[in-house]
Amino acid sequence: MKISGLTKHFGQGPLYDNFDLTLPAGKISCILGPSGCGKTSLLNMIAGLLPHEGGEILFERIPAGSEPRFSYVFQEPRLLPWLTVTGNLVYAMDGELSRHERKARAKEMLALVGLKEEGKKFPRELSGGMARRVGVARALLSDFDILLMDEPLASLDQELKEKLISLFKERLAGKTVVFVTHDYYTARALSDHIFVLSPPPVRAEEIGLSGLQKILEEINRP
Amino acid sequence: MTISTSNRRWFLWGSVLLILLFWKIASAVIGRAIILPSPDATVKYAFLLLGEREVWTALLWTLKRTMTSFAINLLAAGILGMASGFSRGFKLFLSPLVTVLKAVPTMGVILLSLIWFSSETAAVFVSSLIVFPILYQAVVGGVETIDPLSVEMNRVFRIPWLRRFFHFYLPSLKPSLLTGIVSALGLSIKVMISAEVLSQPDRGIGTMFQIERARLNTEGVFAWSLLVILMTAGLDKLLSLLERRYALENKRTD
Repeated sequence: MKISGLTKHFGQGPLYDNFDLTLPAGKISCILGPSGCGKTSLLNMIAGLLPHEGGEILFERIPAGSEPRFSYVFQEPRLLPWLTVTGNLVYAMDGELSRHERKARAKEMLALVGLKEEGKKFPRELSGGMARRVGVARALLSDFDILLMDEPLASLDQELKEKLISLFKERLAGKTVVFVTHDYYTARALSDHIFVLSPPPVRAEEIGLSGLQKILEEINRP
Repeated sequence: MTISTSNRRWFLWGSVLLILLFWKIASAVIGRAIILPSPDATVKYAFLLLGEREVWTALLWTLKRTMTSFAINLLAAGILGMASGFSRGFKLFLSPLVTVLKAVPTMGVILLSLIWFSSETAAVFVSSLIVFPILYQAVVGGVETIDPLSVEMNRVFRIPWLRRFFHFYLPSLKPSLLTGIVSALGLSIKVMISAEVLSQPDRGIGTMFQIERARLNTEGVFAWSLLVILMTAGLDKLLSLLERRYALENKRTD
């Protein structure tokens, strides 16, 4: 995925001004950066949810003339309150599958994210962490070319983080994934490439794992 | 201050009894049934009416007309309201028409429709025209309060439009639509009867009102009013049960 000359203004100043970034296809890329530097905006621009004023985002491995299929773990899970957990998963799955097939896949995925018993519950009966895992399950169940994740493991305990990281590694091998996090452990455990964004106007720099610890300490400093 | 269920009943029945008492005293003071019949005579006459086949036919025809006009309205308000909710341009385009419909005097519409249509169509047309803005506003309001983040979620996951309509948009519109329906249905019946009084279709409550008035049978007019009140109250009760069921469904998900 090649982002070139991206420009986006927020408020008075530019958030992105002639911004370039190449995210490797078939790899898991992590975006780090201080709060307010536009990490979520970048994901939204990639997904086409937020228009940008200049530049272009080109997707490799996507047939000419067609749009990439995205899946997204949103920062807030965005579950439909009138549907059960299973209902929410079935709702977002590929329309070509039968309802029975979709339900079976949802059940299987719920077990994988540790929510086997919660399928019949409604979103408001879930804790924040549970709702986030439903958001993860929904994103993994969708057919996609590019998976975007915004703080996918925030507010989960270490055991659950490890469980989901294993799941991600198993399910996302060879897939193009871009995720945003503040968490050192998640970044180190999950990423093939790590990019750090500077405060606006944003610039990106790829860092190795060795530089990660130092940068995260700086970012998370109050 | 909260009022317990038993106290609520006392307040409600106390109010009804007070109205009946004033009515009884007023009719006794006036002393002429042609001006103001007593409540007991009205109730007795209403029971007499209910024993007649023709009365049930009139009630059912008015109900049928009301429901027909309401269904047409709901469909039109649904389509146009959703279009307006999604497109500011379309909302602006429709705004003069909606303003006119909201402001136009009911009697003016009735008289015009009598010139333009048959008596049967006129009543349905009038009721539709008067009630449309309420349902339209309910749909527009509902669309405008749909969670934009959930709309984005639908876009990202490429939800097919039919699934999106039935499982996302309709449930999102449900609360404001139910409120709109509750307030519009009572008005719809009232306007329908007013239109029938003037348009005089073969069968209908309005026609029966007009017949009783022509016979100077005030008791009959009062008895018909009582039947209409009961019918509207019945429909209101049905809708409030639906609303309560919806609220309970929502509460279950809290």
